Amino acid sequence: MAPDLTLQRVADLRRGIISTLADGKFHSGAVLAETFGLSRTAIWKQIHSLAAYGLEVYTVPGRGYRIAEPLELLDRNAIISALSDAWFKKHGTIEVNFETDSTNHRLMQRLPGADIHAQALMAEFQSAGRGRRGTTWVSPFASGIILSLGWRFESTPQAVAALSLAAGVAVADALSQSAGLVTRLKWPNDILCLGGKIGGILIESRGETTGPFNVVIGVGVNVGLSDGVIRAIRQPVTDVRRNASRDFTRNQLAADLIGSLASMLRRFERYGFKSFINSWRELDYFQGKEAELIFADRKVRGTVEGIDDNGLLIMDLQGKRQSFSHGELSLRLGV
Amino acid sequence: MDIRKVKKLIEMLEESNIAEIEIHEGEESVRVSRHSTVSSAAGAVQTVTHVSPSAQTTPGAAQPAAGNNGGSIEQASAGHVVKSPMVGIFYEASSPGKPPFVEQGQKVAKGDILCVIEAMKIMNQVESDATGVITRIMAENGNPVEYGQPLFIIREE
Repeated sequence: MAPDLTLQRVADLRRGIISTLADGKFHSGAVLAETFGLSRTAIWKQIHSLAAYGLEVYTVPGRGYRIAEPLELLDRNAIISALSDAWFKKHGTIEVNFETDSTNHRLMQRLPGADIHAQALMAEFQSAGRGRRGTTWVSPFASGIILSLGWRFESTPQAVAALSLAAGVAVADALSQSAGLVTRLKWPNDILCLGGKIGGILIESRGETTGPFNVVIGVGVNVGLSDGVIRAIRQPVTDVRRNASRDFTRNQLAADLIGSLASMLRRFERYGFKSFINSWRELDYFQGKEAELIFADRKVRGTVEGIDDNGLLIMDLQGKRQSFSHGELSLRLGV
Repeated sequence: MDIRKVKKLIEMLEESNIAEIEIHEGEESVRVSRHSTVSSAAGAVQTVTHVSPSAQTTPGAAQPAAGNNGGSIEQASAGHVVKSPMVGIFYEASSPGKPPFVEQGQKVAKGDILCVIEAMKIMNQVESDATGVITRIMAENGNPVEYGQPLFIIREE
């Protein structure tokens, strides 16, 4: 019976095994056992535990283990050298975690004591990825970009809620820059590609009415999901790999997302939402479409007119024009 | 003025140690006072509403309030009022099923999180700007709140 492994040792071990298997080739249990100084049974156990990360590992007697698809793991140095945003290169920090509960949660937890300004936190895997109000963000190990960026405004910006929309524009720009992706936005900031969700944004902020205002922009982008995962998620989803019009790397995509978000935040700080309105409108997928806006206890139906200068959604409800600051937009099919 | 607002004001008064609340909204104003001139019942609440400029006053009316632009609340005796920093939806907990950040009667320190206001998918954690005891929670979970709307009353300590 092998001695109990400490949590840190287990984490290191899993990271080591995944890095070895990342090439997508077969690795024999005997070689892995020797590399990591464990018994073959212990290796077998560790490999089985990888299923919890959403990783599919094939076991073939006589040949060993291999994962379904090669993985490109995130590499902090590769991301830094791929950064095209000179400002962030100089002033920002990038941290890559192997596994965490939620990158947004981690950054928010550093408040109010620590400075989170221009800090990017990424993870290969989140055990408690979040959407809004308790919904979850599903992303198997290394299959997407999980990124949170902290920012500190010296005072609460004008129409700060519109930051939500500006963040959508920044993510769409980064996807176009990295992979030549053509995306659209669903109010306030879901990123869609051919009707499927390719990315989502959750912004959390903390502050008093007066004084500094800290925000954490959490971005999840589907990079390469298996068919099984796509079928398992309850809404239509797609990924970058299925839609890219040129070769890209995960690390390049991560660098472009960080750079695009950081430059958006600087611009927002200076000029506010008005410098993003036109870009947002060009990316608007719902404009002119019949849709439902769903709330916790009711829903309204009408035609989406677009957004106003503060980023509020404008709908025409049977001839009555109304603006909204929340609600979940959904296309009405068959109209 | 929305009758629900008036009802809310009365509730606020009943549940607090505030003597009088006066609220102005454009040309309308309402004053809710605890000082009853007709009833002898302790803590009786008398509502006086008047709509200026026609100034339809009910018997026992207090003096008309001066017009004031925008909504404002004045309290004769009150705690510290934490107001909403933005338009959005008020949430008492970080996510559904989680316990609320604060409850009535609870002690809070400056910097503690009191609630979340959601606007356009930004979850804004509102910090307390005072230390004391929450005497009143003035917004309802899941309901919209306006900019500057009172959310909590804190009796400062």
